Formats: sequence, structure tokens, C-alpha cells
Amino acid sequence: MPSIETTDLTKRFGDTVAVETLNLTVDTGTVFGFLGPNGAGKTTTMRMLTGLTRPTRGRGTVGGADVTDRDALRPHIGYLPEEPPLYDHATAYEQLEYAAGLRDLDPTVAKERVDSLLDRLDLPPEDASTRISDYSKGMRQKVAFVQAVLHDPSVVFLDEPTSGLDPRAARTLRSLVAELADDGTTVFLSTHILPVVEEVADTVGILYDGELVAEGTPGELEQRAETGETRSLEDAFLELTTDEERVDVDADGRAVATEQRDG
Amino acid sequence: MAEAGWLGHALRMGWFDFRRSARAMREDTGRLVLLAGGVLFPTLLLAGLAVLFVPELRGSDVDFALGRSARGSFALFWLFGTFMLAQRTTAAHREPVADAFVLTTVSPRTAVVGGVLAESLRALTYALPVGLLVAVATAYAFSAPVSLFVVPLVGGLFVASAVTAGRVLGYTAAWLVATVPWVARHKTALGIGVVVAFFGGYTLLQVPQLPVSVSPALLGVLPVGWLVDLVAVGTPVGWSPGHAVGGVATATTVLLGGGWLAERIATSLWFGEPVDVTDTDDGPPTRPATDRRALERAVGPLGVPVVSGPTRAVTEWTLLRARREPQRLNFLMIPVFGGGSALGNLLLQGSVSLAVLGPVTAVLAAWAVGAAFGLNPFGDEGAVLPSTLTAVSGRAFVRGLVAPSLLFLPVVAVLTLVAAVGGGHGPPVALALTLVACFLTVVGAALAPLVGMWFPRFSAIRIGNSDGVRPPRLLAGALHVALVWVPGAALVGLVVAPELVRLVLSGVGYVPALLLSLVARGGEVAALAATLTGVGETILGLPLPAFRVGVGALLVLGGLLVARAALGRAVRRFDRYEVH
Ligand SMILES: Nc1ncnc2c1ncn2[C@@H]1O[C@H](COP(=O)(O)OP(=O)(O)O)[C@@H](O)[C@H]1O
Ligand SMILES: [Mg+2]
Repeated sequence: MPSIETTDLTKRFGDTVAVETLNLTVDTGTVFGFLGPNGAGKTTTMRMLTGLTRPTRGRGTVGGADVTDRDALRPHIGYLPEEPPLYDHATAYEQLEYAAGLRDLDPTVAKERVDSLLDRLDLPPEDASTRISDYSKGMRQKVAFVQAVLHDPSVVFLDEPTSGLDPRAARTLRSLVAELADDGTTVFLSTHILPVVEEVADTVGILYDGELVAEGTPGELEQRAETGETRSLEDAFLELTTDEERVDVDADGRAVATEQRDG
Repeated sequence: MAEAGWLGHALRMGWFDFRRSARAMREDTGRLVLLAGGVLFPTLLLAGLAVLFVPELRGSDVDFALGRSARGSFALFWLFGTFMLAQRTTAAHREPVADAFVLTTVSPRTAVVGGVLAESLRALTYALPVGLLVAVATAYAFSAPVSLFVVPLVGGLFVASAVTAGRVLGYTAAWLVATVPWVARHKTALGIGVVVAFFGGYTLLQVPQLPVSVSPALLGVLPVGWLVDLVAVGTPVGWSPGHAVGGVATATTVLLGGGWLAERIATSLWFGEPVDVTDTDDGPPTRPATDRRALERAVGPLGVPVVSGPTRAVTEWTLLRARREPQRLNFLMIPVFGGGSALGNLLLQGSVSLAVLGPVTAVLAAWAVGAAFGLNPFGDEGAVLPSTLTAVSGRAFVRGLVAPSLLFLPVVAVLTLVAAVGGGHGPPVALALTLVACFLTVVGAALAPLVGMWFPRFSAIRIGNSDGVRPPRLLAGALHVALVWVPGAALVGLVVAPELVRLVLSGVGYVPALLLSLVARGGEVAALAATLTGVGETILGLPLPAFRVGVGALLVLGGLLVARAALGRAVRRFDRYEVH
């Protein structure tokens, strides 16, 4: 059963098309890697799927709830935005308690979950009870991640979750993502860091200029790269997201651009 | 050490910063309107006076010489400006704008001088219309063209020296907070102490009606005040060259010496390691064994009774924000101090009796408590907003914003009761005023979220400073003031002086009738004017007890309905709010 489904999901900002007729299906308990260069429309897509922005056109459902119905959507989702949603003058404990309170979680259960997650991510209690203003980017990212998964949502949206993390924390995060999926959580993960996706994603979608230019398992995408011996996801990514590479040959044998792009 | 060509860099930095703030100002309509009013009003007032008196003065004999009291008043004005500028320094200009870039690119001297320059340009922009008027009027009145030169000179010296002195004091205060743990821990109390002491002293010097007042002539010994002698150069007003030279020398000394000092203090402030006091006011940095929750501990000793669930989380979070960043609440000072000081003046002049204390406290305290927490809900959430929107319902969120104000209801009640009894009202009136104050608090708290959602402020007041505070938009504040003060004044009026309310209300008929009758030439307009006069007469003829009860009930009912509608709309606005 799909957890996330979109039909012709589109978002325009004035004349800018941020996301164009996106058709996606993500199955329950899988990790979907959403790849794309900066400005491709990943964040906009996530905001539509979390109910934070209304689609200009098209439909989307997450956990069976329509993305325009925030009340119905709320219990199913957890969201880690690009900018960690934290208040600088609070401590991590206070911040996470606020998040748990908003979700009306049982305080004892929430506390246990916070402690175990922070422990997994190597954020000791001494740090968790100091103000977030003193945190490094990586520490913030950890707290924000815990905040997103605290209530054990059925679908988690992670926007560039590994940015600012050191290699060890990034690896821990990857294994946490895999664990979430094993427990039946659907993970929608956007990134432009390919190894993250290679390791944890069951399926990958590549977004370029608002359009989904490829979709498949990491293995399938590697097969599609035609740049010589080394076939990697990186090759596929670069090939699919460069204007020069996106050429077709028309009937007369001349190379033409696949599509006209304005601006 | 400053880099080569630092003065040029500082000039460019100052000009750039000035243009940046001018642009920010232009984009904030509410501030711009207020500012324009603040500049235009004194200019027009002064222009009116000039039109009246300057032709009289022209050519007449002036038998007046500048003395200690003129110099003292001028010095007092300088001290006042310096204090305000020092406050601005600690509040908003502790570091240069975009400090990470500036401090790695130019020397502290350049940054300090650039900041002084930008601030002076801002101050001079406000002072320009008045300054120009004074220069022209003086030159014309005394046929003294030299005034066209000396007035701007004195204005420039005055502003630049006050800005520099303000920076020295402001940096010093910030440095003390950054390096002395005791100061850091008690900075809010100390700050209030300094403000109260300064304004106390200022009042002693300014209000001769006080039993212990001090004449400003006392300050005539301060040589900054002697600058005023320079203004009189070329006019028949008696001035002393010694004082004029002394004034210029002092201003120059303040400028150069202050600049030197400011550079040193600022360097230590910007590059020094600040003391860490977060642990001491948070308890030990490990999880205490008690099962009190972290948020609960953070807002203690205040407790949040009754509410639970998500609403409680929002309530505690709102209180935590107010406690951790009390600067958020500074905006409350403007109307409260404005209203309070106007009242103080009236009391001192004896134009009103102490009896107004109760009604005024009822409205001011109720407004302040109602406006304190909910006037910028989206902006206050800041980066947390996407999380909040995806985690909580609009209903719980809005209720959580209103609850903190209700928590302070007892404070409003006690203040009003004490003020009313202190002002000489009997228990029934005092009790009625207290009830009105509580009612106004509830209505004000219910209106705040919607008003704040209409006019949110997302960017910090200081561009380029990530942890600057985001007070409510001026427009939001002004609208909320109007929505609470006008019906509030009517309600307290009904309690203490219903006949006055009846008179004011009858103006609904009389005033348009009067205006119409001015333009009317018989016919329908005159008939309408007569009808409106009739309306005014009818209102004025209403029996007082009936008027009191009727209008009172109408206001209370209306207030409750509006409050309910506002809450509902705020909930819907939250539920439909989109993040871009
Ligand atoms: N609020 C907005 N107003 C106008 N344009 C926007 C807005 N948000 C995003 N965009 C545009 O939409 C496109 C996609 O942006 P985004 O979703 O942030 O990309 P990504 O997350 O993949 O880097 C970009 O061209 C961006 O400029
Ligand atoms: Mg993005």
C-alpha cells in the first residue's frame, strides 16, 4: 500500500514553476531518496506534502490523508525542515518537551524516547540541558531530527538531514533512517549528497527544474548512466541534471534540446 | 591598529549602513508614518511659532543674554540624547551590522567610526527639518546670515558628540554584561534601575512643580551646554566668546576622546570571551532527579494551572520566550510610559486629580497584559513555525497564546484596585474598575493573536543579526491599542464619569451636524444636519442610569462577541497558514 501518492502535483510562484506535474508513489515502510540540485523543487515538494504550502494544481495524499487537510495530515507526519526548527534560547530538553507537548504525548514515554534517541545520536545530557544558541550545526541537526521522529509518525520527511553532521553522526543518522523503515515508517528523504541515498534508499527520484526526470531503484539508475565504465549514481545524477546532456536526436538526425526552458 | 585608509572605509561603511536603515525604514509603513508624524509635528509647531514671532523680532531691540539656565537646558538636552543613544547602542548596535563580515574585513576603529557616522546621519535626518527652520528663522529674525552657518555647525557637533558619547556608554554597559558575571545575571534589574534613575533625575530637572525639583541652571557648568553660545553668534542676543570656544572644544574633545575610548572598549567587547551564565540560571547542567518537566522548571515559579495537553505546551513555550528574551516586551513600554508620563504631567500641573489613577491603570495594565504575548504569533515562532504548524491544531495554538495573559489577571486586578483606592474611590467604584480591567484583559488577549496574524513581523529588527528580537509590527501594536483603549476608556468612563461619556457620545450627532451646517445652504443637507443635531440632543437627554447600564451592557456584549469572533478567525488563519 502506498504511503505517499501524488497526481500532477504542481506549485508555481508567480511565473516560477517550482514543481511541475509530479507523479509519485512511495510504498509504506520504504525509504524514498529525493535527489536534485539546489533549486530543483525538493523543499517545495516537501512543504506541499506536509501541508505547509498548498499545491497550485494536482493532488497528494500522505498516509491516506489529503495534503490540503492539515488536521487529517498532522497525526501521520514528522518533518525535519532544511533550517532546524529550534528556538535558540531554549535547551534541547525544553525544545523537545515542547514538541512532545504539542503532540500531546505521554510525558514519561516522551522522556524515555528523547533520552534513547539523544543517546543514539551522541548528544549527552550535559549538552541537552544547555541553550541551543551554543550548539554547533550538527548538534542542532540532531535535536531537530529527534523532534521530527519523536511521536513515531508513519511518514517522516527529512529535508537535507545530513547537512552539517560529522561522518560519525551522518552514519548514525543513516542507520536510524534504516531502522525507521524496518519498523514500518515511510521515509521521504531529500538530499544532494549521493552516498546517503545509495546506502539507505529503496527507491530514488531525481528532480530537475521541478520535474521528475528519473525514478527507480539506485541499481536501475546506475544502469541508465551511459558515461563509460564507471557507472555510479553520481554519473546518473550528473547526466540527468545537466542541460547539455539532455538532448535527443530528432528525425533529421540533428540534436535538439528535449524541451524548451524559459528564463 | 587601524588599517591604512581606515577613514575612507569608515565613511563608506557609515554611508552604506545609513542607506540600509533608510531602506528598511521605507519598507515598514507603520514605522515610517509614525516617524514622519514625529518629525512633522514639531516642525509644524515650530513653523507656526516662527510665523507668529519672527516678524515681531525682526529689527526690534533684543535685551537678552545667554546665561547659565540656557546653557544648562542645552546640556540637559545633550545628556538626554546621549542616554537615548547609549540605550540604542546596547539594544540594537552592540555589534556592527553583519559583524562576522565587518570584523574580519576592517579594523575595530573603522567599524566604530562607521557606526558613529551612520547613527549621526540617522539622527541628523530626523533633525534636519527643525534644524533648517531654526537656521533660517534665526538668520531672518536678526538679519544674521552667519546663523545659516553656525546653526548647522552646532547641530552637527551636538549630534556627533552625543552619538560618540552614547556609543562609549553603550559599549561599556554591554562590556560589563559580557564580562562581569554578577552584572550578566542581573542585567534586567540593573537596566531598569539605570532607566528609572536617569528619568528620575531628568524629571527633577524638568518639572519645577515638584517639591524637590532642581533647576537646570545647575547644569550650566557642563561645557557641552556652552555650544548654545555659538548659535547666538551674529545675533543681538548676548553671548560669550569664551563659552562658545569652550563648547566647541568640549564637543571636539568628546568626539576624539570618545572615539578613542569607544574603539578600545568595543575591541574588548567584540573579541573578548563572554562569561557564561546560562548554567547558573538554569540549575545544574545535568538532569535533576525531580520529575518536574524541563519546560515547567523553565517557567517556574509561574505555574500553568487548568490548561493541559497541546495548549499547555504552547502556553509554557510562550512564557519561556518572554522570560528568555524580555526585550520582546519592550514594545509595551511605549504606550504605557507614554500614557503614564502624560498622566504624570497632568497630575503635577494639577489639571487632573488623583481620581484618574484608577481608570487609567485599569486601561493601561489591561492593555499591556493582553498585548504582551500574542501580538506576533507567527514571527515569534521563528524557525520553529513549520514544526508548530505540522504538530498542533489552530485551536490549541491560539488558546495557548491567550492563556499566559489570563495568568496575569490577578496582577491587573490588584494594580487597578490599589490605584483606584489610592485615587480616592470607594469600594464599589474600585471593584467596578477592577472588573472592567479584567474584562479588558480578556478581550485584549483574545484580539491579540488575530491582529498579530494580520500584521506579522518575521525579520528581526536589526537586519544581519540572527538573534535580534522580533517585536510586533508597529501597525499591529497601534491597532491593538485602538481596539482596547477606545472601548476601555468608554467603560471606565461609564464607571467614574458617565455624564462625560454621554457628552462625548452625543458628539456622534453634533459634530457631523456642525460640519454639515457649515456647508449647508438649506435643502436636504440642512435637514440632515437638523436630524443629526436631534440625535445628539436625544443622546444628551438620556437619563444617566439608563445610559450607563445600556451602553455598558452593549460594550460588554460587543466586546465578548468580537473577542469570540477574533479567536475563531485566528484559529482559521493558523490552520490555513502557508509557509513560503
Ligand atoms: N516562496 C517562494 N517564492 C518564490 N519562489 C520560490 C519560493 N520558494 C521556492 N521558490 C523557487 O522554487 C524553486 C524550487 O525551490 P526549492 O523547492 O527550495 O528547491 P530545493 O529545495 O530543491 O533546493 C526555486 O527556483 C526557488 O527559487
Ligand atoms: Mg531545499
